[in-house]
Amino acid sequence: MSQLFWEILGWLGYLQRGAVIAQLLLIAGLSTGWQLIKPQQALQSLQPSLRLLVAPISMLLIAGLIELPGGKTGLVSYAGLSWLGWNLLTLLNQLLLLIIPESSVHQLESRLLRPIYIAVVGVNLISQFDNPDDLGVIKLGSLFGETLTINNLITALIVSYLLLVGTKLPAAGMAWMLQKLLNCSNSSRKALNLIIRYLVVGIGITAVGFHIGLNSTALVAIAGGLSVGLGFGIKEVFSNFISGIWLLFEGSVRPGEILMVDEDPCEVRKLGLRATLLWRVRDNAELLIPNQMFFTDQAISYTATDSLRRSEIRIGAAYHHDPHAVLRLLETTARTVPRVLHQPAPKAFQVQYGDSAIEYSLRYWIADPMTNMSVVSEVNQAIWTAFKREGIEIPFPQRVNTIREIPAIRTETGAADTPPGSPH
Amino acid sequence: MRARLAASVVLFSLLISGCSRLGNELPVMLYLALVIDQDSMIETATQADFRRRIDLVVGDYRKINPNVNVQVALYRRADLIGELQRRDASDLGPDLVITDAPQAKQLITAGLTEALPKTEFKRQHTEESLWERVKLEDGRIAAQPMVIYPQIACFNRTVVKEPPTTLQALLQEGAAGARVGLPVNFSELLWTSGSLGALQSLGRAESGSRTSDEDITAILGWLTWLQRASAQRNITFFQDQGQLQNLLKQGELDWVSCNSNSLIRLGSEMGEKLGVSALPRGPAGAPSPVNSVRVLALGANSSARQRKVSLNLARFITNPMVQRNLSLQSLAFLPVNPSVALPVKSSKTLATLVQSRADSAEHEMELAQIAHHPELASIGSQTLVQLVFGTKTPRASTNSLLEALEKQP
Repeated sequence: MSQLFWEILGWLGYLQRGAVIAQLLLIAGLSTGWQLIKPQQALQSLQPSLRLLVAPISMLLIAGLIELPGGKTGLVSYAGLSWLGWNLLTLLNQLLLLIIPESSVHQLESRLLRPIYIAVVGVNLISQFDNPDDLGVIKLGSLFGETLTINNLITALIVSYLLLVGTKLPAAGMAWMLQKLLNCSNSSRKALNLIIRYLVVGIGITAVGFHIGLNSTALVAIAGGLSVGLGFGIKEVFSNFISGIWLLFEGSVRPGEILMVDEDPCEVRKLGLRATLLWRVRDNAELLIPNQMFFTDQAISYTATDSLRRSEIRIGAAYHHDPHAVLRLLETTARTVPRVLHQPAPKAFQVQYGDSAIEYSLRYWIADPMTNMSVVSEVNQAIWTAFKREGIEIPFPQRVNTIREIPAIRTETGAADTPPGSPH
Repeated sequence: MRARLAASVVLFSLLISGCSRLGNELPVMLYLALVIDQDSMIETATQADFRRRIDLVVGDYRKINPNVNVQVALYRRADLIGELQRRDASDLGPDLVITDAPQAKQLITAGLTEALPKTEFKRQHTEESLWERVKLEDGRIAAQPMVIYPQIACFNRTVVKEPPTTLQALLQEGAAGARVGLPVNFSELLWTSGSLGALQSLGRAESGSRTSDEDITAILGWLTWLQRASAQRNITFFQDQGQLQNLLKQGELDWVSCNSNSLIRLGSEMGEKLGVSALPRGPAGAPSPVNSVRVLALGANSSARQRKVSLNLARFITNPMVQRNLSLQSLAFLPVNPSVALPVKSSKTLATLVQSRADSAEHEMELAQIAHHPELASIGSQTLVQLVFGTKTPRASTNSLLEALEKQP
């Protein structure tokens, strides 16, 4: 580690050279000048994409002009090229927006393209004054008895990062291909996507481990450490992780499934390592629920074997209407609502003689469990219209009170020993 | 915002111009580019090995000049010129380059290094023949020779009890079961031409003199011996000495020709099993080993102060005491300073290295003519490959070699 420190510190020695200082000053001056002058206003007539290229190309031109009489401006050219590349990434971003959704482009840019670009520019910059191949083999220390070099460490970090960030699209593509081959459902595709990602990441991380010197002895040491950690600190984390993998293979909580959470239908959006992300349609909220909750608690699913949902509406009609006619009307009305399935057919029942009305229950099926509320509303409106058309009354609550006898005026003396309404 | 930016620039300018002004009081940092062996990869072990070698030189120098620091960067030989060109574009090239003599000439021709100032160097501190290796046609000196790496024989002592001293003994050793490896690389196999009496004839062909029948017979005899040797069951030809050394290390071969440059690494891998000896003599006398030279060239981008210290260091390394210490501490290379006497009786390895240098000195003129021409080496190697694999007769190979030699400028 100290060797690396001294190596980096040693680079300051280049400041002993006038040409190096001149180049650094030129780079700092040009980039600051660009910020101070703010020539963007003068370039309003140019297309925004072309405007991005003006500053770096100007820097490259200035470097070229200085090189003509024999000056050395490699660093200035390099800074100009790096700046140009950075701005070209912005243009690439705009192009990608035409074919990929904005959120994906943003993720791709911020998590993959820009970090890779910065790394490449950094390594190339080092090669301007040192040999990265030589730096890479500097020994940082020992890990599990194996030498850990900068190359090993950086490779391990980059591969792990790429595995975690860069496997999303390939795994989705592979899952899509498998869906086409196996003719499975969308939720199965999403589950396959996750399983492929977990597999690739798992194998990759193991390979990275072996690359940096993980061996059977190290595995035993890690397992020992984990067993202690599992017993104390990371029990919940591990439990959630295992629950997530179990649920994924079991297929009960996969992305796309509809579950009832606190009596609200929610769609599973993402099954993460620790928690499941659900979308609640009622208020467009996203719920993060630890995986082990689904593993240990009861859950209601509308999509376990099929995605049909049976819904019910209870309504009262006045006593003087023929129940047969009301039942027929309810079933016919339900069929007229577009999102009510004809098969299984809607069914109406006379369920109770209530205080004010005869109570009926209309049961019908819908295809999308998440749309229950809006279908209930549509069916209720259709019933109201049909009842009005057919003259069927939905009675207000009624209570018939019969006064059998007017109670006598109570006196103070008789109040204590004479019950109300009793003959004197 | 603007004021803050302007202030930052002013501060930055003051900082780095201040650093340069303080230069005379600050330690001097020298950047050293070091070429590793042709057969090596840049690995942690290689890095440690080469840094140790540099420490042998720089460590002593820093005892006298503690304010001088040296930062080393290793390069593969094939990558050096490209990488230095990239660094040179920003004036960030190294102050010193350690490589072999042919590459030092390429570097100065490419403008990546600068010639040694003739007046400042004590010519008597370096063997005269070595100056010839680093001298350009226009008389400029490309680099300061540092150390000599002689070509010797390396063998596995558990199999080869007594190293063969003659080519005949080498064939017998092979017949007795020892696995012998020879390089098919022209420069690395040239030592056999000395033992078999063909080197002088090759030299005459190169110099443009008319080759006599005796010369042709001598070259033919050398090539015939090589082809017959390749037909022996236990004698195998490989691409170069790097490959031979690896096979010896892995126990696949028992006797190979090698360069003393590899002795440190071979010794650390093989331990007591490693034996060294001078290359075998032949009917015509001593072999003609091609001893490579490590040279120190001056980078073209140094500041005045860095250049001054670089020159000082370049002078320091030819100092007799430093040269003697280098050889004794490494037991892998010989001094370039002819006035240094080594205690050869104290070490068999040193005796072998000195013997190799003496053998080489016997053929100094011819080797200088033939051994360091990249074009000739390339054509010669192609001819030898066809010869040892039997696709070309010794007669046809002789003609090819003579043609190539006569074409040399």
